Amino acid sequence: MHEVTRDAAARRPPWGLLRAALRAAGIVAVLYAAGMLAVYGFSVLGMRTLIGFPVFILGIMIASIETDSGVWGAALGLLYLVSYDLLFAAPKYRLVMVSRTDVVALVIFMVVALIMNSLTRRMRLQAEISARDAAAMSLLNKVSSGLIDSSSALEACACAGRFLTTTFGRAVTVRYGEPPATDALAHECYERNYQTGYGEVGSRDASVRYLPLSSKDGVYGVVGVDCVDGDLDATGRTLLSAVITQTVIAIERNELEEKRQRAQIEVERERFRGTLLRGVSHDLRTPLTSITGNVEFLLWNAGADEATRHELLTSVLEDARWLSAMVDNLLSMTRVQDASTPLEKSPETVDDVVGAAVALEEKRRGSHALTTRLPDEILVVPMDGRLVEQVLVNLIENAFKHTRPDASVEVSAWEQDGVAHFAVADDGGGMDDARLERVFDSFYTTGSRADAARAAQASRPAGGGRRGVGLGLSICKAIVEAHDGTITARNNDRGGATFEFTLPMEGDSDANGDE
Amino acid sequence: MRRDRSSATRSACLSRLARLLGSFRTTRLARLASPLAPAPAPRAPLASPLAGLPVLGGVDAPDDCLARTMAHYVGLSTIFVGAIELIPLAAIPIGRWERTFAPCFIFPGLCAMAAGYLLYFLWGRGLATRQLGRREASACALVVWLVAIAVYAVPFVAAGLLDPFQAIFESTSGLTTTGLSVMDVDACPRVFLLHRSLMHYFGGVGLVLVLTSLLRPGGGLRVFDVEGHADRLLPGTTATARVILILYTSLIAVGALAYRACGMPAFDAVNMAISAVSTGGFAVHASSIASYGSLPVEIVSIVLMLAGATSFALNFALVRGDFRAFFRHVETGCLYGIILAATVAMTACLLASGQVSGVADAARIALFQTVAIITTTGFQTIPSLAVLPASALFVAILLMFVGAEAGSTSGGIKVYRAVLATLGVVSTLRERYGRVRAVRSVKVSRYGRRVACTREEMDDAMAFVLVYVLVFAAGCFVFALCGADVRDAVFDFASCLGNVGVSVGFITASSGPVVLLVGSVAMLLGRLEIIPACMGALWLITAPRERRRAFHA
Repeated sequence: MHEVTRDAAARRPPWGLLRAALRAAGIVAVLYAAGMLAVYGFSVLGMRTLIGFPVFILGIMIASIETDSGVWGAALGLLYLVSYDLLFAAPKYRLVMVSRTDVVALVIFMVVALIMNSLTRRMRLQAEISARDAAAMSLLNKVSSGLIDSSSALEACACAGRFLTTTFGRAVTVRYGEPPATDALAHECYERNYQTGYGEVGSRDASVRYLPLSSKDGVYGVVGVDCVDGDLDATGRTLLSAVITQTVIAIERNELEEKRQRAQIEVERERFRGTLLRGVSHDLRTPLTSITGNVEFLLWNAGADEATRHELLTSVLEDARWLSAMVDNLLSMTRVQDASTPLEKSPETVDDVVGAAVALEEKRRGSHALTTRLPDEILVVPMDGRLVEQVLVNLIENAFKHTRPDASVEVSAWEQDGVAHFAVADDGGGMDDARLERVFDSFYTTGSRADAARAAQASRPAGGGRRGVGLGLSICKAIVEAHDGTITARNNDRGGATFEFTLPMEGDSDANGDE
Repeated sequence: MRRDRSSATRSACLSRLARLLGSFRTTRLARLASPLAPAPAPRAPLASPLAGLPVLGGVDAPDDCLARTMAHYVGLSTIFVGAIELIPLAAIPIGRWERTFAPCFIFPGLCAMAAGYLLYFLWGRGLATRQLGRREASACALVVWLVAIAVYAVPFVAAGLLDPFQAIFESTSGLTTTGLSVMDVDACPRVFLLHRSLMHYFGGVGLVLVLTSLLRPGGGLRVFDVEGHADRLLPGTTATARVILILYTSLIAVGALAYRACGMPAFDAVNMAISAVSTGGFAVHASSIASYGSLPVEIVSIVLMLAGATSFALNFALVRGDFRAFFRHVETGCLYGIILAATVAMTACLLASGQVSGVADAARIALFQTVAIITTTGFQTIPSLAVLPASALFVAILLMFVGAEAGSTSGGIKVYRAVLATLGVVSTLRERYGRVRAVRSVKVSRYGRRVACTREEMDDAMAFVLVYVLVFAAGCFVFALCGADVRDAVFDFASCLGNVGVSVGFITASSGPVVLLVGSVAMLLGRLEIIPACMGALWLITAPRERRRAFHA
């Protein structure tokens, strides 16, 4: 803030100086006349004229105060002395300047003038300082209101940076986050949480001073103050530290806000899980009850005939398999939805994945026909093999469940425009459009609970015609979208439905490289 | 130093704020961090980072600013008043008078300047200008006048010429341009005569007006409105003040030259010119104008008195050549008409009483005295007014009431107000009892234009007249209590209140302190137009009590 006073002094116009000089001369003239009159009065009254000297000192003091400098006061003192010598001292009307009184008086006058000079200069400085402080206070007020309105940490930093630059008239940058390693001083400031740069030990030729934006929780960023023209003065430093503190408060507030929002999301996720568990537990109970019933019957009825035993055991097996598939699905779902464990993609051969899924489903196809159509060249796609296998399994299972018992299901894969396409198509009857739209929603099933219950009590069609929880396709969608792919359902021209999904061929490593 | 302290406290405020913010972070934000965690144990109070810092709380006292503004103006005015007191000293070496009286002027003047500077320095220094309200402005003007009266009274006491009450009376009489004197003028040292004339000079045009023209206070010091200069001759307070001052001084200079041309000694010429134009009345001889016994002197005096009694606005118009404004002004016609009528009446009275023989002599005396009295100057061409017949004295009393033009140096109710009051009464009567049921607006010629008078103006004029009469009645009563008979009480009090300066002999050097004080108060009230003076006095008395009440409320 040195610039302010310098500019103000330079801006005063010359005629203003002349007027000030005239005013000062007028004041000195008045005081001179008053002083001389006083001495004259003393002389007329017959008192010792030496009493005039205290009056002269008073005159010098007033002159110095009113003219804001000691020079005029000193000049007045000299005038007084000379006039006194000329008019009142012993050899009248003659200037004799060797008496001790004169010398002592002159010295005292000069000392008084000097003291008054420094006093007036200090008074003027104080006035300037207090004006500056008032400006600093109002600025602080403005900064606080700007920071309160900020809605993110970056915005708070930008706001503070703008204010500081305008106030100090020098470049001040407020950077949020870790500075790049190329800027060694800033980085050191961030790492070690102390001031570096201009004026600090260990940094020569640095023209910028760095201060950390820190609190007890850590360092949020770095403030850089350009000190090419010299460091800030005491008031400037205090103001800077006050603004930094306020910025840190604003940053912390914004970060807390974000944390709170994330906590909110967590709570909602918990709630979702709770709902999921509730929804699922009931459906898990049913097959378990059936298993328990069947096994109990077999245990207590050793003499049951072969056919009944076979039937019951088959039922138990199917229920167990259903349960196992359900649990697999649920686990996949939670894995995919848990954002904390990122997807582990690795290059997998399409042949292997499709082959594994088909092999798994081969056992359950019953009277369905299951075929594959794969490209001749080897297709390697970065994916989580287990999850994509799960998708294929779910899609094939879906096809088995919702088509005629003798429908044929075809699994195919091909590459097109750098994207791997997978399709599961059947010809066992399509779906109407309403269902097509909602088929990937969670908990969406075809058929009501009542139907499922009746079907459960009545015959047990082979091939697991048990009603699902409705999670299968939504899990597929989640998994595919976690791979940044897309999944679609449509009716095909063979009289059935085709479920198709894509997986991008670029892996994580490429994507990282772009950033 | 106050500035030191305030800047130190501001710096302290900044550091305190910084520390406060730091401690705020560690406590409030710790609690905010974990909304699910229980609140932390109550910590030690926040005093620790703030210990040792000065307390910032300052009470905002807006009245301080007002007191300081007034101290500023009163201080500067006092310095000026003291400086004026030093002026007669310049004449001592010129006239080769005795030096013995020099200290009587030097030390009171210097002390007044020092006191004024002290007041200005301690309370009013470096103040941005603040507009004073009417009451505060009146109070300001009143204080300045009182200070001036006191300061100008001191030389008389210091020289042993008068006792304190007489000195106060004399200085009030000088400043208010009344002209009643308790001094033995023939035996008075010349420097004191000059002092009295200077009092006339500054008091006539207005102390504060002179200050305004010299010092250029920003913010429009309306204080000299109180001294009766309500017209704005030029845009801007300072410009108006300067113009008035220049006109005034030029008139005096011309008058002095005219007197000199009539054969008066130089010293007499200057003093009498000042006295005439300021419509004061102090003379350098006990028998006033009569001591010269020359017709040219009387004619010059009449012209100067009339010039002083013409409002400055009209004088300015005449100087600019705007004769129409002069002749078509209501006051001009009324004033000269009254002078004419009164002269005729007084001539008749004089002739009837047989004191004066010869119509020419009677007319001469009557004209001079009429002009002298109506312009509130107070010069005399007859040895004593006490011998005049009662009818003449009555005419004189009426003239003293009316006074001359508003905005001039004369006193009394002023012709303009009297005209307005009369017109107001007439229009009221006409509305009430008149035959023609029409709403007529009252029109008056002002400076060459016909202007309608508002009801407020007429009411104000009538109110002033009533107040004047009430004060007059009260004062006469007091004089009567002090031993005057009715004629003496009425005449002398009217003379005091109207700032005229003729006396039938009740107020003399041997009058008691009460009479002199009451006379002084009357003179000051008359000069400051009663109402502003009372407003100012009331404000001075009640303001400190009100402020104390507001503080403790």
